[in-house]
Amino acid sequence: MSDKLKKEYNEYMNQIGPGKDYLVSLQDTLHREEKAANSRRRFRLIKQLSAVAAGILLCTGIIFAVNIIRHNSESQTGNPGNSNNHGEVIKQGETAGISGTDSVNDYNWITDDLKEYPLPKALSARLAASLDDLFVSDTNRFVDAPKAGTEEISEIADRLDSATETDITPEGTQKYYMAVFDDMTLVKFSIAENGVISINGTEKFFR
Amino acid sequence: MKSKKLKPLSVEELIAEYSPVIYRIAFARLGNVPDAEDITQDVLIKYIRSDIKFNDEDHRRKWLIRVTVNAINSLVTSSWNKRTVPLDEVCDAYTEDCCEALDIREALCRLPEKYRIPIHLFYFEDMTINQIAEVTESTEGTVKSLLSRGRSKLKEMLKEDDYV
Repeated sequence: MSDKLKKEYNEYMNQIGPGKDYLVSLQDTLHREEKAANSRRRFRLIKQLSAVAAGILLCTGIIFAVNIIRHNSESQTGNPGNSNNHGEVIKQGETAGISGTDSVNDYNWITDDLKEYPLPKALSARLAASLDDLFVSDTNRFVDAPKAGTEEISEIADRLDSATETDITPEGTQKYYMAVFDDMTLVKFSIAENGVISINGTEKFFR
Repeated sequence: MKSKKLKPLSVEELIAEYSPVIYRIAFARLGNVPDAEDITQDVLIKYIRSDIKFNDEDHRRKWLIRVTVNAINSLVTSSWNKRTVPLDEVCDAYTEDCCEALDIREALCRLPEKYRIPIHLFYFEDMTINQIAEVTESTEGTVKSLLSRGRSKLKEMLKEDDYV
């Protein structure tokens, strides 16, 4: 197309355009549409954020549930090791291994009057006051384990009574004990060759 | 068209900058005011509703022109439009068998519809053949052919040698 035709075309098209009245009504329409579009965007954003929050909550819930299930199954797998108590009732939490983690249930053998005592002293007091049986074993299993004699119990009680917390870790062979008290609570503990005492439910050592 | 830095447009800026562009493309193709106004409003509403992030002004401009072309195509192919004869058709005033040289307005009204958008985009919007092909969703060859034939027809209708 020649420059002349292009010029004429552009001159003609420059005269073409939307009228003023139309532009006013168009502006109103677009303002209304803009408001509606903004509220739609906000609503969409809220929906997306809600979905994300719900997703996070769901994931947290699943993780929490999985942890509970895992914790329960671990507790249950610990039970067979305690099937050595000759049919006596074992309360949950008392079944953890000798070096189990701290928990309230692990200390439910501590009576109210012993709460202020250091752990070994409290155990010594209970051994002296309300012990039914004290089973002795070379492993942390007490199936058919023999019971400790009075002398041995007395010796252990004395040792516990004078024990204090130590940084020394158990060395050498260990003897494992399971004390069953007259209120059907029980506690496990061990004494290593180097004299270090471990009591079920605490990571601490005593000597 | 050189790329400018993209800025967010208010409704007023949008109308000032793009309503004439959209309106003229629609008018060039459809030849009547009501349809051009409808197309302009539809395209600008689509723009406001869209969540597209434009890279630059060129991107936004091309998007708007492409949506305009699509809206025009939808209108002319709609069954309603096929059954309707506009009362105030601008081109109605010009008869087919006119033998005198026409002015540009008359010539554009007589120009077959398929040539109108490519010619408008090429000469008025200064778009390249490649860009026209992009927004009209056709090939460069088709655009070249439409431009060439459209020019010949306009020249013939204007009956002036110096338009060559």
